[in-house]
Amino acid sequence: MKYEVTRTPITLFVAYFAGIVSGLLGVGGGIIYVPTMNLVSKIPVKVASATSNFMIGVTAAASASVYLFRGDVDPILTAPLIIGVAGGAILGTRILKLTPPTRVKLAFGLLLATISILMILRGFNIPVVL
Amino acid sequence: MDLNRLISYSLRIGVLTSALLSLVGLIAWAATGYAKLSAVSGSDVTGTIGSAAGGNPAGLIYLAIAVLVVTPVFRVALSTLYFARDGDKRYVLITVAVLSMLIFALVSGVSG
Repeated sequence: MKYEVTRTPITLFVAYFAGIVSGLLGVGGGIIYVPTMNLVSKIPVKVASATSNFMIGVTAAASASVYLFRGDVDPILTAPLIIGVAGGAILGTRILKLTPPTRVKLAFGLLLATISILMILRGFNIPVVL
Repeated sequence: MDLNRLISYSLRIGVLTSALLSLVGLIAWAATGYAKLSAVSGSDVTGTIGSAAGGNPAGLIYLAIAVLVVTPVFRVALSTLYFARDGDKRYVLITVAVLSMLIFALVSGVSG
């Protein structure tokens, strides 16, 4: 796949804020990294998705170790998460390879829109239960 | 073996080992009759991980989490070697910087 990465300084700037947001809200940051890489730096969505996965492991390791040693990690909550996420990630990467980029963008957009609406409702204290 | 491939395998092995340990931990927990696991204090995490060999459920799961946390750190270390072998000084500097930050986070986490 041939592509050119553009406007890296802006992406660096946005990634800095993505880092703050991920540390503050406990989100992986992928939700910010992927659209930034795709929209600002013109990185193809699949490459952006793969890069984001790569980055999140590294950034999450930094904060996770701190939480782990502070004794803030609940083992019984974490174990099923690890098993589920590992299985889902293996399946997800297989699906990503087979899915056309436009579909990936659409799915990502729908996911972002859904989460945004739910979070806004929560922000206004409207009970949302999933 | 191609170092790139080695990095890919190391990530997969790390994640799968962690998932497997989590599963064993959950089974061990079920075997105790879903006993309430007491919260592990920060200074005792290493001791708890040490108890994993004895089949302690909390120890097994903490070990799984530790493996998961160390996996990307190991990957960055491998990348540093990869770029060093290619003589790519700029990327060696970047990966060494990332690695130092990660090790700093780990050490500051251990020391509380």
